[in-house]
Amino acid sequence: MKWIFIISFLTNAFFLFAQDSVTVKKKWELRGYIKNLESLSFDKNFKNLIAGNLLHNRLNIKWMPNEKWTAVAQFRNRLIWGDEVRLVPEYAKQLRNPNEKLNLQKPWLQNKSLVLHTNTERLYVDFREENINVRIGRQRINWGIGATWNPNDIFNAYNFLDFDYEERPGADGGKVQYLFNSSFNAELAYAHTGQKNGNVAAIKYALNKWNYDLQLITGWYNEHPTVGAGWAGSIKDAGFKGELQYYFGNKDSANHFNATVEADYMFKKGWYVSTGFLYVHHGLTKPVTDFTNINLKLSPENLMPTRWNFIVTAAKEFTPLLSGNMSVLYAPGTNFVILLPSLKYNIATNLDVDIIAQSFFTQLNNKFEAVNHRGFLRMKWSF
Amino acid sequence: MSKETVTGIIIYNTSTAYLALLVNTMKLSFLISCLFALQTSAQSAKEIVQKADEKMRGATSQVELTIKTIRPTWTRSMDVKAWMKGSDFSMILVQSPAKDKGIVFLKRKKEVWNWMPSLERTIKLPPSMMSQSWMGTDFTNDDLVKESSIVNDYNHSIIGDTVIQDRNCYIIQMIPKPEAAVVWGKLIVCIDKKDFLELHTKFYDEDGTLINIMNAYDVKMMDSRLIPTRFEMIPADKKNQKTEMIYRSIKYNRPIEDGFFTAEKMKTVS
Repeated sequence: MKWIFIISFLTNAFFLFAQDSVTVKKKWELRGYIKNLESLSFDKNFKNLIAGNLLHNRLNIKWMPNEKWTAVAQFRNRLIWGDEVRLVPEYAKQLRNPNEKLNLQKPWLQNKSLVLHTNTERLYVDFREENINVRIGRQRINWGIGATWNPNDIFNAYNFLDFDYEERPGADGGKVQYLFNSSFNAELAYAHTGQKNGNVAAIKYALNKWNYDLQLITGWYNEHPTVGAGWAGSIKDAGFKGELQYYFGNKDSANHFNATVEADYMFKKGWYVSTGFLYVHHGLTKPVTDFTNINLKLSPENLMPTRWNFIVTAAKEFTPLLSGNMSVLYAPGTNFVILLPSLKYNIATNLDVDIIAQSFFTQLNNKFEAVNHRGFLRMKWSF
Repeated sequence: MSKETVTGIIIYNTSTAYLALLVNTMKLSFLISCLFALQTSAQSAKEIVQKADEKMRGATSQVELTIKTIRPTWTRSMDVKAWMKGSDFSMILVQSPAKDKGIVFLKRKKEVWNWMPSLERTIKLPPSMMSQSWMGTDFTNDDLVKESSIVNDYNHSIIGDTVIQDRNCYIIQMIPKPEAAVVWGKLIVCIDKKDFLELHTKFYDEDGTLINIMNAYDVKMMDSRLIPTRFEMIPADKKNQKTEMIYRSIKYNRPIEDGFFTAEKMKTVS
């Protein structure tokens, strides 16, 4: 796979000198971005600062030789340095996504305080004709409907808190979609998640009826039979969405399920408000004595460390260039709270700056207290 | 590297991108309805009004537009391609800037979807997105795209003549009928006498306060129709800012199947 990385870096160099979006002929498309993320992490008293730096490049290459065939390769190149690299042993090893069956990543450089790493995020061939679509390779099989939590997204395991990774990881597999008509289709998908017995295979039926998008899922998830359902519609002028995923038990575990319900509304003058609820059967229901018990290593079966979760988000465009967002997450049982304010400003046409903060609170030993605070400054240039 | 970060960033990205784009798409709808309004009011006979409607709007249209948001200290430009069929179906593809390229909006009757290529997912939007206010006014997208309101809901009268861009124009006053549920209190419209081109319009609210001024320029032959191709909309209380819209291409009445306006199609339009 070495040639892929070489191509990737050569093209990156090319983009440093290129302006704006570049389309070489019309059969090729080369796009992406360069981001710089500065992060500061403090303890509960805003002390013991840990600083991190990330220079992050994404490169999306698409080849469309004709109307039916498309080939896609996408790379994520990251240069990471600072305290966090110093503090975490074998930092580069942790960058390998354990859910990818094929090893298409490469740590180019690693020393005490600096890591340069590339991962192949997408690598697939797509065939599309009239009513059929087939896609083979590393791809995102995305069956989620909701904005925050996605119990139906059974092909992917990712940390939903990772805001700097909106594309999400891919899965190694294939899918076939057939359109019966413009409002009804079926999709059959398979992926190997790289784990032992990590096979996921399922069929999704999708229907648009009564002003609702509806879906039914049935399949196999890591040795469990599973069924799911999801919808997106409205009640009066408010959006109304939900997802439910049920896992039948096997010799290792009992029946369990995850469910989410969301509502959103756009008020006059540009205020957007969304609220969501998530139930995770396996989640914690009692306060913890150690914050590390709140495990943020998540999977489709464990979308949150806690059983009951509520989130409220408000967003507002102050001017066409400046917008703000505030989310509050609360998990009763553990009394776990996250505050997530952010601002976004468009400095120039393709240059955005984000200022993001997050504070974690929880109940530890009968005392509700702050756990840590983080601040981020991100610049993003898209091409 | 810290992984624990912001929840709801998808919401954030979506709404941020959406807010800006929605405002632009509303401007598009608004402009179309204005054009339509003014052409139709040029003559009093209802048959002519209806013919003018057909002439301006078409059963379907495919347009490529540049939308410029202009403020004293900055300017942003966005290119979009839009497909429209009647008032029930529309699809809008963002062509530039690079950061938004490939984002698609689909409206089918009361349902609205958004395709985000970077997330590889379709997001269904709440119907309240459509009743979002336009440029900070009390007028909503829904209000603005109501068809034929301008034909049926107003009394039109010629109140004078003027010359705009070397063209002789009628000055026409439009007052809503008492029972009409319309957003404007009065419109003053200047229409070219020979080619029925709307070149200037003033929009007043129900208290008689001037809200917006629209000017049209660059009259050209587009798809065998002579139309203005550059429009500017100036809010009356903010004279140093405006929105400009430039038609780069337009095609009327090419057949588009209803099946084109579907969530699956959003993923492949170009």
